[in-house]
Amino acid sequence: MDTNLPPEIRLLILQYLSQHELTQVALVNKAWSESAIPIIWKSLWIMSENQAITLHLGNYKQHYRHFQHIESFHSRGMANAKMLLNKTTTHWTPRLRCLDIMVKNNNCYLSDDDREREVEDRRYASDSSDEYGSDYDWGEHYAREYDRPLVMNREEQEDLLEILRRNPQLKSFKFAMVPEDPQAFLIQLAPILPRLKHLELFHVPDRHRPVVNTAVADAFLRICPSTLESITFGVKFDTTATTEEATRTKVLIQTLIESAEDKHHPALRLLRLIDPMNKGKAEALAPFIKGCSNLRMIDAPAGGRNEWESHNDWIVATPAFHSALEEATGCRFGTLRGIPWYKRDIDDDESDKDQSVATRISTFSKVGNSKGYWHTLNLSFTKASTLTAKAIADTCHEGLNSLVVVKCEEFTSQEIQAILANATHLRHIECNRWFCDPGQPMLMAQDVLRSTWSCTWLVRFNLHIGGIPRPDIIFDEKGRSSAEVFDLDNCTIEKSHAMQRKIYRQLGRLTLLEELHLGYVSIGYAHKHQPRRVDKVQRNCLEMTLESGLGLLSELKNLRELGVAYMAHRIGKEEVDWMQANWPNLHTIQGVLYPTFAEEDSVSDQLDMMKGRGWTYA
Amino acid sequence: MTVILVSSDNQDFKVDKEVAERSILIKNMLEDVGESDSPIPLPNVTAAVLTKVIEYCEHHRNDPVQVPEETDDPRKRSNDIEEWDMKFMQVDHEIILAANYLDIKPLLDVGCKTVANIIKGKTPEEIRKAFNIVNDFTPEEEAQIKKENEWAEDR
Repeated sequence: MDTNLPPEIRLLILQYLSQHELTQVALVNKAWSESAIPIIWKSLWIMSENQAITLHLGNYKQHYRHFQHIESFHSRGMANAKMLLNKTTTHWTPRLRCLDIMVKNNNCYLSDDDREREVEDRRYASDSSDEYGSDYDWGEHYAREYDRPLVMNREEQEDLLEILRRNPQLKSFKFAMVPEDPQAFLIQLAPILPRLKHLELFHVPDRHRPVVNTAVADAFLRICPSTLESITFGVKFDTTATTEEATRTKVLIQTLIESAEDKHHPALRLLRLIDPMNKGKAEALAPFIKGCSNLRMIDAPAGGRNEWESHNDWIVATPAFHSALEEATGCRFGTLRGIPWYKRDIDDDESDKDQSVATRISTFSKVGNSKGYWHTLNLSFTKASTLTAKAIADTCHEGLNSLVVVKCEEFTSQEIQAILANATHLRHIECNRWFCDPGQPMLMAQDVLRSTWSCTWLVRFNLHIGGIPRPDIIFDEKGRSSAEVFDLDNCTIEKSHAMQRKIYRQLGRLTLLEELHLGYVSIGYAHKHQPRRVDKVQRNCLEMTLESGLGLLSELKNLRELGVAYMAHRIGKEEVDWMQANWPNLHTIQGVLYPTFAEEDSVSDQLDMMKGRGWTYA
Repeated sequence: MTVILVSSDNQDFKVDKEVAERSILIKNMLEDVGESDSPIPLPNVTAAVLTKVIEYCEHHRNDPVQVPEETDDPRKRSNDIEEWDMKFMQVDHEIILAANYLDIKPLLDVGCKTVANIIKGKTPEEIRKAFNIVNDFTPEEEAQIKKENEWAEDR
């Protein structure tokens, strides 16, 4: 068949394949290889320690014949991005469309310098979060929990600017680290990206830390490329700047304004200025959106009832806020929408609530030419039930990114399985009950085995998988026989392990996972409300041993956090050694020290087992 | 109104104009020629394949014209093939070539998705078997590509 297919048709076929499938095709024969290789290298992610080490040792010469294909480059930290400047690759014409520099990896130290820098970064992180006091506990929480190297030094800053200068055709630039002098960085940045459409600066996911002050941000927006369609960055609004800082800012603004004419941003459609919307002051926002007549969406967090209200499927500006904005800017805006957070109904008509939520979810997806889809759904503490779950399962393949369902007692296991099987774009799922009830796991093993999960882009997974017969647990924590739960004659250890292996196999395909919580510890939304005391332990959960198939999770190379709290796991030294060898990014295990059912393991043995591994554990 | 299509092996096919115009190539030809009942020669399509293509166009005659969807996601989905189309495509690749030549985008899409679905989940050796492909790499070349791919894929 193949010999007859011309290259242009081969390309059409390849667009339906994943990165891994493409690498298989590249090995079929020369013709297919020629078609597949440019696509494989079109988007390069340097995420793992191994890749980084190859780069730092200069062993990438064998690859650079393929660097010419790179259009989209993603890397942790600046060090890896230096390859874009390497002399040996000068024959390669840069045509980067997308550059994405993420924060560095926690456990990857390439030199002592990096280690020292990390210490500095931590200091920086704690200093700046102090400024935001009590109304900023989320930021502080994350600064503590997810502290990662952030600061970029001057040399790296120069490298980055050089990369940008060499790639004037860049369309999307995302940059999560923070330069030593963010204000100066902005000034240099503004004139060198003439075609930029999407800009995201200093924005570490889950950490909302404003970086530049209002006046500088305002000046930046006035001179940055007029092609911009979306802007995201943190701005300090109410800071009491020191006089020294104020003077410096004044000088900078002068420079900015002299360096370019005022530009309008008619193309701007999305604006996320991370701090200010929490305060929602029209006059504070106004300078940013002057002339942005196409602006449609502004970051709208859950708060700010005077400024934002729920209307049909969207969070929209209240009439008062809307006209305040128009008055302050002298612009006429269309409907101003917030980032689509699902907000609970204020009225409490519980009888048809499920129906109404379900209708919203499914009708929104059908509006117009099917372009609308839910990006984030947070249904916590609602009566959302069967109909809603079905509506989500039916529509989630269109682009649902994040689903949080806490204490929606009626969500059943089959429905969650259906969502996992359909939601190809899902990045974050969190489904929990309010109080732990081992008898009611969120996802039953028998359902997991029914269909294959398609959510292979998942980054955070927080779900209690239960319903697994565990004949190895003869007594529960109160000394009652487990036989009442499981028919021990019919359920052998072998059968239990075979079932568990099937579940591990599903989990093992989620190779982008960074957080895997199978126990009763919540991440994200439910964190604040997590009940502290739990007196029951899941006895029908995964065993988490190599014997039961844990080894099938060896491809989860990005895994940073593992949560097994209140699970009757049997993690022993062998498993911990295996985790250390196979999960290079792991830094936290939650729940490993809770009483387990491995009789021979006392807590002190477990402590020995965890010592000296450089992990956080509890 | 009908038009007459002539396959490469000289068979005539009488087809409703509306059906024939699912092919952008034919539609453009008809527009260029204007009102005329002269048959349209299709030298790249055999009668066997043309029969199948017409069957497809008949089945989809009332479908709305596809609007290309703009999306930031470079990877497209291939698991949304209609049941009728899935059965239909269990034939062979000549339909893909004909769809390409006749410029019938929905048919070309379905064809490519079908091939992609066959490739999915297979090892290189299994793909070769499925499509009767001969491996023309030397072992060294194969090892080299494997190494490079592993590096690019290692996240």
